[in-house]
Amino acid sequence: MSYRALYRVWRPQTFSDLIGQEHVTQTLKNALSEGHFSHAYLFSGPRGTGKTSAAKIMAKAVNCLRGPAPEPCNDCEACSKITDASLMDVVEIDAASNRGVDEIRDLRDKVKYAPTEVRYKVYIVDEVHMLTAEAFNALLKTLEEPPEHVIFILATTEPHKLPSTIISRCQRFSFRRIAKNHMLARLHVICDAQGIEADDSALAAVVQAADGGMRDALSLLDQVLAFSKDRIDESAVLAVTGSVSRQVLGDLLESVVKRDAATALDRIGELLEEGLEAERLVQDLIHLCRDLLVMLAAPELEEVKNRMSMDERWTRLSEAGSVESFHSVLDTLIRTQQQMKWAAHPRILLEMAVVQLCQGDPSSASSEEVSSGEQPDLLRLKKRVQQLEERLAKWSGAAAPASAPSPQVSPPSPQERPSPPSAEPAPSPSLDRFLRQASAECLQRVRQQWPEVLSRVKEQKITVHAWLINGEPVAATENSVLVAFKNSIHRETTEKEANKSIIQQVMSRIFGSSQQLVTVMSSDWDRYKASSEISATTDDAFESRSESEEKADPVQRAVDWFGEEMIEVTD
Amino acid sequence: MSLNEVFGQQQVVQLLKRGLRTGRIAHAYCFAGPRGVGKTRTAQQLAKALNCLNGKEDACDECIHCQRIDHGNDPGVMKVSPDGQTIKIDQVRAIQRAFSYSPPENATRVIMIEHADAMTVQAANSLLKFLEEPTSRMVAILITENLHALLPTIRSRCQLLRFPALSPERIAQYLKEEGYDPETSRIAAHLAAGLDDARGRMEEDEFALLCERVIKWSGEIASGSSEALVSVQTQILETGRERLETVLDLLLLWLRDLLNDRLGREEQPVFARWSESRRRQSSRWTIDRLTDGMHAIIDARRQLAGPVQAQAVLERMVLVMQGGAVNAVSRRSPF
Repeated sequence: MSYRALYRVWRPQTFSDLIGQEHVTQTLKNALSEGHFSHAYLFSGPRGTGKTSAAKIMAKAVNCLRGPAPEPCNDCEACSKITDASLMDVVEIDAASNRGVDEIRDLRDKVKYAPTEVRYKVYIVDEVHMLTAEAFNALLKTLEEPPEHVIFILATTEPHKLPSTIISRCQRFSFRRIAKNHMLARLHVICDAQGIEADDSALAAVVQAADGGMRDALSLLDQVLAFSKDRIDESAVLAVTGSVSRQVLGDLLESVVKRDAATALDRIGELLEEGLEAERLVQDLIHLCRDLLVMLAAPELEEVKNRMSMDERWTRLSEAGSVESFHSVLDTLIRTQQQMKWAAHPRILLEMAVVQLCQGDPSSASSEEVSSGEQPDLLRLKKRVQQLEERLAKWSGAAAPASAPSPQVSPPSPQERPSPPSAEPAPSPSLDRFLRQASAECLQRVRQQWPEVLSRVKEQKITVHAWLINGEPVAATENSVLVAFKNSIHRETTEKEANKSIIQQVMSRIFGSSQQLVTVMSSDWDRYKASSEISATTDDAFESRSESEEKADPVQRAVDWFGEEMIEVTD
Repeated sequence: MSLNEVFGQQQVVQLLKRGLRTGRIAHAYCFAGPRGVGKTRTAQQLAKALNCLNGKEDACDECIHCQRIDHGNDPGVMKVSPDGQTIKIDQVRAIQRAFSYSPPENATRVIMIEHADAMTVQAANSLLKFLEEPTSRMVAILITENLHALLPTIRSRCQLLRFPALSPERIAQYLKEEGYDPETSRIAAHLAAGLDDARGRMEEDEFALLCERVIKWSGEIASGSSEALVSVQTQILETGRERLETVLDLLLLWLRDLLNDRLGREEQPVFARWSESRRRQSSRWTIDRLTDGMHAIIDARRQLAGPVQAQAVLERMVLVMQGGAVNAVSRRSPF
């Protein structure tokens, strides 16, 4: 006989061999020992978790000559015949190939005959989700009230495709993906029994690649054995799966953290030259970043601790970033992985992702923190203090807002933070007065009407429109509008008396009351807003607290508003 | 031909030969990799090696079995490919029926399924039991370009062999030895998936001219002038719709060269001949805008696969590339 794959040789033959599914095996064992087994079972779960194996073990356990016992003896005639599939009374049906109503009718006709050799006829219907709708319906009556001597076991990876009428007639058992430590232990047992020497790290890599399916793990082990005879180490596993060793990935990640795009790309070039796939590389990077993230967020977790504590470079790498930075790195990588599935140039996509990570573009905004190694909160605070100092230095001298060049920060929408009344010393009297009365509703109204204002101005005088279009209304009160400009020339020209009066006229007409136009440089506005935010946050906290207290007693508020005599309280 | 002569897949061939030597040949393999890297060829050679009368770990090419398999006359070696768009369940049933008869003595029957990702759901599912527990000595080889389209239940039953894309350097080297122009063959090698594909491209008319045209176009895009839009109409669309993908791939590679240049990498550029244009153009880009532009090209290339008007797609791409990130972002969130 030719070589048999490991996963066929090591198919579990008893319930205790079936690892990681204690919730299923325990129930089945108890049912067997008490003799309370049902006539229809449904086993569902992902690939390689033991559904078909459990079905076969079940068939043996009920028919074992020394049973029915919680475990089959695997020794008697019935058991051994079932194992090599030569017993007529245990029928394994491939429902995916025999999916029509005719096959099910045939089955139904044969069900009524009594078993010939053993106690029960067992029908194992594998891949049952592929039956046609008619076939399912033809099965319903038989499944509900089969003859005494029949047990049905349905097995499928996709239980959601079964009609609910089928599911409700079965006892349903959900198999789980096999946990990593269970799988690792099982692999050790198999390696010992086969006389294979295997490193811990090699088996860990196999388990990682298997992704919860025992059959995947054994296929892979088989492949590694074909690759490297009787002794397997991590490099053999990595060669077979096409993965990269963690050390190499660590090098790569380090150059990304250092923002050294050229070196990182060179490393990638070397790896691809060795025949690695870009797709695989991204996946491995994702796994590594995930581990680093977990290490940072939950350092006491056993799984990561075992894997990562061996090398202190991981600690170093994880501490170089923050939870947020790893989040954004993962985001970028996962997006790249998605795109790679359908794009024609995986290599270029990978390179682009790495360059982006090194650049620290908006999608990985916090990679700045990665390099400086500081907490993001601290950094933000620092920035704010700096802004405050700048502002103080500026306003203590001159009162008028000067148009000093400053980095162009796109202003966060004022709607989110309606310019709050601030108790601070005013940066400029007019601006401050303005902000005291500013309200979000006014701004909302102005913004809605703004395109209208622009078009009216355009009708009146097209040159004014050309200047005004560069501005953006950022705050408003009942009778004035604050417009921010990015460029001083736009602002100055708009401020000219003739132009300003045209705009004000138009605005008064549109808003129905006389309106005043106030202008500001958007850089100044940003700075001002940032500084007032500090006080606003404290104010906000205070306000929200008092507000919530008020809200806690709506009756009291109603009394306040309407007076006691107007209120009638009914429970 | 034998396993040894498969071009550029040493690792896979090593693995298979070791399996043949030690007798550890699985009953189901999945060969996955891009087009034109030698998957089918390897499968064919594996079938020969398994049945060869003389060699143990490779095919001898002389015995009756090797010859019969080469000529497609061996009853034990079956090949299935999509019937129309998909592989149907009846085709799989036919295989199962054929394999239910007992094989000739000592023969290892081989079933090759080309484009296994094109199997219908029903066909794939009906293959599951057959793949898991074969009744006789057999090896099933599923060949696919798109591993993700296979059912996970199928994948877990096979030993997965990945065929990496051939490295462009090696293809270029090979083409050079065949007497093609070294600089152009470098470009073709980067563009193509495999050796044959690259050779085909070299033989296309005016390949070098096309490169020239794309680089000029890229210059227009970089300068931000609206001439780039005119060129879409006058230069690019003229090349014909079927070559537009090539044009975009060339543009992508060119931008990659520019990116390398900006990053100050040592790597030898793909477009070696145009170093002057590269220097001039790369000074006009920032790294961020280059990556955004490359994303735009990849987007456009994907859109071209659908039933859309090519001109609109290209013009939009040019606008996005010229407008930088702002245009690209505003598309995603119109409000």
